[in-house]
Amino acid sequence: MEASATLATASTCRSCSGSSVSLKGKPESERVQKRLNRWYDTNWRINIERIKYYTESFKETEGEHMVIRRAKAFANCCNKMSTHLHPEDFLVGYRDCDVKCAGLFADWNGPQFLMDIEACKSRETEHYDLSPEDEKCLLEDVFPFWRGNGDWKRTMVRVLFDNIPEKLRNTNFADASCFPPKPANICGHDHRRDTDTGHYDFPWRRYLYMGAEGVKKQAEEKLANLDPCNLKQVESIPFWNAIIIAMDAAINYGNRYSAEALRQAAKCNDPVRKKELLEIAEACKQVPAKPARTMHEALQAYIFFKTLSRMESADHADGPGLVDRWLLPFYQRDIREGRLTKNQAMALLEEFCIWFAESSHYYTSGVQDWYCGAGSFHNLTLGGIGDNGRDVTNELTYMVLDAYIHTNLFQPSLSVRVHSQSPEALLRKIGEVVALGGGQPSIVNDDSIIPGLLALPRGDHDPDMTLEAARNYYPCGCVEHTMPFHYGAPMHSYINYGAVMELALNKGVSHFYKRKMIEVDPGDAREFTSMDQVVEAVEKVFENIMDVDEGLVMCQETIERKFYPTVWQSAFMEDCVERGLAKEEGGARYNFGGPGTCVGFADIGDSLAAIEKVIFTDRKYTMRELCDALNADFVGYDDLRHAMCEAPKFGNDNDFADKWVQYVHDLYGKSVVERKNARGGRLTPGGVSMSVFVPHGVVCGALPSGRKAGQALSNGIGAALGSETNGIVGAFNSMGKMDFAIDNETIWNVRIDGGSCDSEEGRNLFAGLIHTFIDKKIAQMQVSSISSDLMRKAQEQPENYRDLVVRVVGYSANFVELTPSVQQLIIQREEHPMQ
Amino acid sequence: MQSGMVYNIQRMSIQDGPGLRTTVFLKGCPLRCLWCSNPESQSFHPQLLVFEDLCVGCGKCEGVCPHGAVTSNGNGHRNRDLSICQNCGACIPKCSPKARVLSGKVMTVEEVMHIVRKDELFYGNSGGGVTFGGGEPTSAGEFLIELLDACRREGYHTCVDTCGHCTPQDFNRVLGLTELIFFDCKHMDPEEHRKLTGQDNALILTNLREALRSKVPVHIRVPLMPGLNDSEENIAAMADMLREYGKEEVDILPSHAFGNNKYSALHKPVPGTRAYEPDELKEVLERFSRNNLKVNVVR
Repeated sequence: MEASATLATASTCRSCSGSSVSLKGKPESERVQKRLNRWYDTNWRINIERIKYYTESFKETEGEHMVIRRAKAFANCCNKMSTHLHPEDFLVGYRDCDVKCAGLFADWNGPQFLMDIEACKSRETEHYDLSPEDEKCLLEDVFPFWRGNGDWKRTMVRVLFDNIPEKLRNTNFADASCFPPKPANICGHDHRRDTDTGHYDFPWRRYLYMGAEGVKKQAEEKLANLDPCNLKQVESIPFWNAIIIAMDAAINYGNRYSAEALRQAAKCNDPVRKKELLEIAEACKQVPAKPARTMHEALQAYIFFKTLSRMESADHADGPGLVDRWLLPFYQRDIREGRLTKNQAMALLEEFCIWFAESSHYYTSGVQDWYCGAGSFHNLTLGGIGDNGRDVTNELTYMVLDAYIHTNLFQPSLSVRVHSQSPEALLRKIGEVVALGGGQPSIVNDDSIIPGLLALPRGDHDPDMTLEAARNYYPCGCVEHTMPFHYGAPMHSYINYGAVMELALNKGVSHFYKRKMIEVDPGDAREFTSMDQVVEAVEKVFENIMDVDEGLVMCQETIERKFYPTVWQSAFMEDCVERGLAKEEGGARYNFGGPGTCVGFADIGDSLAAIEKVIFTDRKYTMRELCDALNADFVGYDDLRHAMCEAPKFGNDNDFADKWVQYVHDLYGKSVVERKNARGGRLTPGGVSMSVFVPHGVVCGALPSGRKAGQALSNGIGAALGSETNGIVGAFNSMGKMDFAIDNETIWNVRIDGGSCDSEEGRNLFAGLIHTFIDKKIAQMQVSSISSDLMRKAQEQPENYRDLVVRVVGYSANFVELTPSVQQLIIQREEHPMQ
Repeated sequence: MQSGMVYNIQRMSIQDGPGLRTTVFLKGCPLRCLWCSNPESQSFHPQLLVFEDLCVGCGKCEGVCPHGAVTSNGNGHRNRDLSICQNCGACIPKCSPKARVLSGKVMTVEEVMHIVRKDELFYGNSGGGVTFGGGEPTSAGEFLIELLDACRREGYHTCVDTCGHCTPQDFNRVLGLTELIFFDCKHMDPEEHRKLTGQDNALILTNLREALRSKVPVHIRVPLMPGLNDSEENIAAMADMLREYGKEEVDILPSHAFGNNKYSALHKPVPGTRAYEPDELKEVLERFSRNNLKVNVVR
């Protein structure tokens, strides 16, 4: 008789025939199709307008209050940056001034960019065009100001560098003597040297319903009713004045677009386009000045919110959040009142999706490995439990998913919130997006995350969290959960959990850096005679690194509140104007959030499991032999390494191994929430490795799990690379044992065969898989269904696979634009045969 | 409690019945189909498989073999002398490239159920369950009966994937416990059947008719081999018989070569069956439609 399964099943897989192209569908209108084509036909460019006008203003305001200087610089950008309006555009305004551009933030990372000014044009991946005139302007007008007399004292990166206490610097910086700092990979905060922390809430409640005029009025009233004897209020005067400057500038920015549209309309002979231009002019006069009235205005308002945010900071990892909630009333009213057809609404949503992909952030070469793919992490969230406890999935949910399918670019990121009462149709629809093969969407589990948010310890001043607020959470950036009235969930640090294991067994000395990295002494591991001693050493090292981490978070947030307060962004965040404090100063209602994540949960967990099994249970080798082998990177210790590799590994539904990953996961989660940030909130844990698992792996020595020095660490909270051998059920069951109430900002990559979701039958099975994911209370998963064959083909002929989007970690990127080492790792990531 | 010989438990199967399933493969089969793609499933005893192309020539297996059965060939790759090897598996833990694999392990009903239970959430959420395949599961006798009974008590949907070669009494007991039958249909002519599988089809046809008469849903599966059982005549005979019971649909499993490396690993001659050319398969499938049988090709 025939059996479909064979001993070799684990290695057989169906190859994907590139069917994703046919599934994509097409945009509604010809104009939107042109806007989509334009994306493929345009090269990435550096746009200098933002930094040019920001710098111009900063030169003139030296000596004034920082919040006023920032507001004036913002205003100068609003008043002078080009208002590009191309024939393909109905939603107007580009995040970086024009199509497929990346802006510059010399005010933050000037020295790194100056070092990159040649590399940005020529580096192998993620290169950007830079015109000779722009380069000249940068070198003659912009950078000299930020460089000053050579110390870069006006840049944030210098301010941060100078203000980090000496005792923290040793652990943080790989090379504390060098400036600009090189990436640090034990307890790394380096991304803050390229962008601000970002991840803040899109405060649509005030923004879409008050507009800039409403907020300006609020600030004027605060100033008019000021109590001159109240020091707190007096101290807030500059902030309220700054709000007025910024709101006026934003209103003018909208008016400038309106004028441009009118100018074009006057010359336009095509009646269809003329009508569009007049509608654009009308919308830009309305928003951001006044409340949005229609779906078009609401979407236009959002785009302006982003372009304006990008003028005052890098706008890192801030997304539109719960689009099918805040947009729904506008859509419904337009349909009801006959202002809009469903086809027109679809065209708007498609254009909205394309818009996100038209800008990217330029990551300088020093941190490029950390954020491979140049995404700006705009996370668009759909579905989930609503205010009243019932599911909110609606018509718009499915329309946005279709719009995403029709356009399918590397941005926005898509998240779908699911729970035990999500409609079956939504779960099946998710399969259609998975079938595109781009690793989208991120599937997040309300049943695990809402209780987790409610259980977070409160900060010093934060009020109790409400169920209503928790039910309106959304993943920001990757999975940094943000709520209404909440500052957001800044990412600060990446803690190298692999290195924690290494340091615990090597007296705190890193093999890579060849020096002691921590202040405490974990003891001599060669003399350890029990598992308890190993665990004690790990905890000692870990707590020391967490102390450093907390210190760095405090110190960086303190510096940011002084040198980089935001005005436009704080204006709409609830309570900031009322309290007279920028969001960086703790103006928001809820301030929990940060620091970030550990990298390599599975590597340290597997290492502890291997030590317990081989050294203390089977007694095959001694701690002394293990330490010698690790020092030698296993060279000459093949048998020992084989034994360690054979020990149980996380991701295979093996309780022995799984308990250790649970242990390190809990150790991290419980330690983090006891710590504070500088805004009066508590820190929150996460499990998002970005592509940091590659550079963190480079500095991490050999580990008892059998991993050799320099190899990549595991990504997100997933199993170590190549260690899942029991297929997808083993992985699910292992993951289901973790306590996601403690830490639910986690990323879990699941790979299934290409083609698994191509048929309706396959998608039904996939919906069953999502139900199981919900039942097991796993916080998040994202599923890639691209075959490694296809990716190898793309490596051979990158020109034919420009549209191949793959999930890197918390985000997706164009495969052919990733560095070869990251490409290789994505290929290696476990393939789970679904047949 | 009964125990039996299991050679694989495949979780997350999607081709062995509805939904996401765990398939328990029981070792041992009364037939010897020429094309069998799981040759290690035929014997009722544990068997060592040696995949010589994975061998790195370290020689550690030699040191541990209690019977001195390890052989070495010209290029340093190790194999074994079939006449001496006792299939004890002592060499397996020493083999780091996993060139040596032992197929077959005695498990109790509870041991099997312990693994089956791990995935119960997947069954419930996908309309899946547990499938018993082989080998030939009915050859396991009481072991299969107890497994089916245990699944029924715990509420798991069951499916038995059978060649049908067993006594009608045994077959009827299975029929009374399972919720779905996958029934192989290889050849309608008794003499041809004997040539292809080593047994005639008398028992098989009796059991098949019994199954089709029963209330249990039956899926007919046809392993299709070029030139061996794909003649117009055989397909017409099959269609005639199925039509008596109102059955109009069959699953087709076209010949493939995935099992060939396991023949070498067992020191058995690789079967001469070949895979279909795409056009050829298309033509053969048309024979089914000419006889009013709908086909569903399983790969």
